[in-house]
Amino acid sequence: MRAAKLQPSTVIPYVILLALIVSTALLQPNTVSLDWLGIKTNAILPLALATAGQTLVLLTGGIDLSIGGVISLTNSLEATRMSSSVEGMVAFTLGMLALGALLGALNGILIVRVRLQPFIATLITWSIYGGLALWILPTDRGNVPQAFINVLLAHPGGIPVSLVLLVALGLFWLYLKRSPLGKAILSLGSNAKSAWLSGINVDRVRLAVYSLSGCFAAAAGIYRTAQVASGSPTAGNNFILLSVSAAVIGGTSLAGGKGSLIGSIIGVCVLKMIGDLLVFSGVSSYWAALFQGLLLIVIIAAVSVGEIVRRRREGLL
Amino acid sequence: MNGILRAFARSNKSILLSYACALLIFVVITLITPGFASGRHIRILLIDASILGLIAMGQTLVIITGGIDVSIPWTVNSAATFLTLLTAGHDHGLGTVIPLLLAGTTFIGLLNGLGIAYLDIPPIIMTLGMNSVLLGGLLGVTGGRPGGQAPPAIQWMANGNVGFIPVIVIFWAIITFLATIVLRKTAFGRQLYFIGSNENVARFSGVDVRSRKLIVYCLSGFTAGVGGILLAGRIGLSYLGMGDPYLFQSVIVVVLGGASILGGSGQYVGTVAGSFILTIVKGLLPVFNIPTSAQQVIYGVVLFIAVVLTSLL
Repeated sequence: MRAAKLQPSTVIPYVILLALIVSTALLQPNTVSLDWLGIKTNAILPLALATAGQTLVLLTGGIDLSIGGVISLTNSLEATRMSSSVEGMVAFTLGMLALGALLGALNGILIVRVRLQPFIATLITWSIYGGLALWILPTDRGNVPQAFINVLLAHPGGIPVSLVLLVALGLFWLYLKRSPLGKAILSLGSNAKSAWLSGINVDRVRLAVYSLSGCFAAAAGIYRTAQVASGSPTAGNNFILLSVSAAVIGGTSLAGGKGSLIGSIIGVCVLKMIGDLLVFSGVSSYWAALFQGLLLIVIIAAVSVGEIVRRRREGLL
Repeated sequence: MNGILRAFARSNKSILLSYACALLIFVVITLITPGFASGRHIRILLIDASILGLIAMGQTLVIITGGIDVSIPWTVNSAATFLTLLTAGHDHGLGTVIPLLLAGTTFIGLLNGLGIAYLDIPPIIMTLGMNSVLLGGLLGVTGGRPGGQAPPAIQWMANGNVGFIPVIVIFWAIITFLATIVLRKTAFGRQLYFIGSNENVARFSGVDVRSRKLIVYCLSGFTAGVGGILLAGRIGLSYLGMGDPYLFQSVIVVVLGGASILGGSGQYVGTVAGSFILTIVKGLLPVFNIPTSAQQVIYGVVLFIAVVLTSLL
């Protein structure tokens, strides 16, 4: 493939992130270090995983609201039902990933077979999965084996596990982008009809994407369990909005067909750094949701206005 | 007369089916559980259905145009919280507070409408963001503390009687009548269906799609405000999170009433039937010892069944 001209939407997230890191380093000298990086990657990994799945869905032109329910459910199960033996923990965690993929596949079936719109299909399953989480764990609590926490929050040789996983996520995208599935996802998002005409099994791609999203959401729920050392039946709800915001900041188009998982990871970093700056400037955490919502609306509005301006200009030329 | 009735039955199959469903569920439950059909319990069910139906009024119009409003929960919560904060539980000042609250929630709808109609932001994203803004705003303003008491006059409006009929039911009946007239008899109403069935065709036929959508989201903010005030009156106080159940419920009752989630069809009288069905089903849960946590699962299943059924009919 030819090297495409750099689009502003792919460069902007990196510029914003750089500006945020520089301003953090200036405002709080001596904070930007390897330890700091470890703390940050631990903090952002759940959202990065959830956003990875959301990005794949957005690339096909869909949306996955059910990740809220999947994260709550896997978090609640991990925090209450996992045995403390090593084999037990490994088996249970793998089981949770499989459960996530299954719940995601159910979304895919509702969309592909029952022909529901993505937002209504995943609204239905968000309600159901979230309800199951509340059934399992009515209030925030949990008993997480210490060994489980130690492994996932470890940093052998100074390199945090979360950073390794984050890099793996980036490599996964570089592989996926070149694979037949990745190409099918991108072409499905740009134009579903021409993708279908060019012989892509559209239904199977959709099914795969929603299954992957469920699996990534489960991974986010699992990592959150280690990070917070507790379970919450409503933990996932916040991830829905943040994952869409992070993906859009990272240059993913809500209409599908354009975006990248690495951009999304950068988007997650940007969200985290903005949050940190708010905390640093003494804004009460009560207001956090207000800024998160505002940020989403402002970014999408900016993208929309940019699109409208671009279309006008092209129309004039 | 007979012919008119038959024509009505033919064009409103799904709505009649909704009412038949509500009646059937009610009769079956009454037979199983003594006391369900007692005068006192029916009155409670009617009041709860009224609040749900009023909140879902704007959602009905939004869904007819092919959109969705998921900012309703915290719009409801905002109206309820500011009612109790601004009045401090007293009746004096209500004459200014209520218009202020309704103007505020209509303004929330206006912002939603501007983003959706003029900036082409997908409705689910715009209203999801707005819901978060309101949640954060209310948490910030209240510092996480619950609000106070609702004024006695509002409590009377939600719980009181005129003769033997609850005030709120009379109010709901009037609103239902008005909404039905607007949807069926006015150009504005017909344009909403037109937009919902095919927005591009509507635009090219000269319908001002943007202003219509703007009005619809304003109305959704307005009715959520009305519902929030009455909900505070019904419970007697306000607390954070009191609007959350209405995220799913407001969508469910519209779809149960026979509206297509894709837009272009639906009637407010259908939503009224949907409100009855959901309220009866909710009243059933304690009877069968179903924990409240399972409610959300049931909502999801009911929504699924309703969406599939309306797409088949």
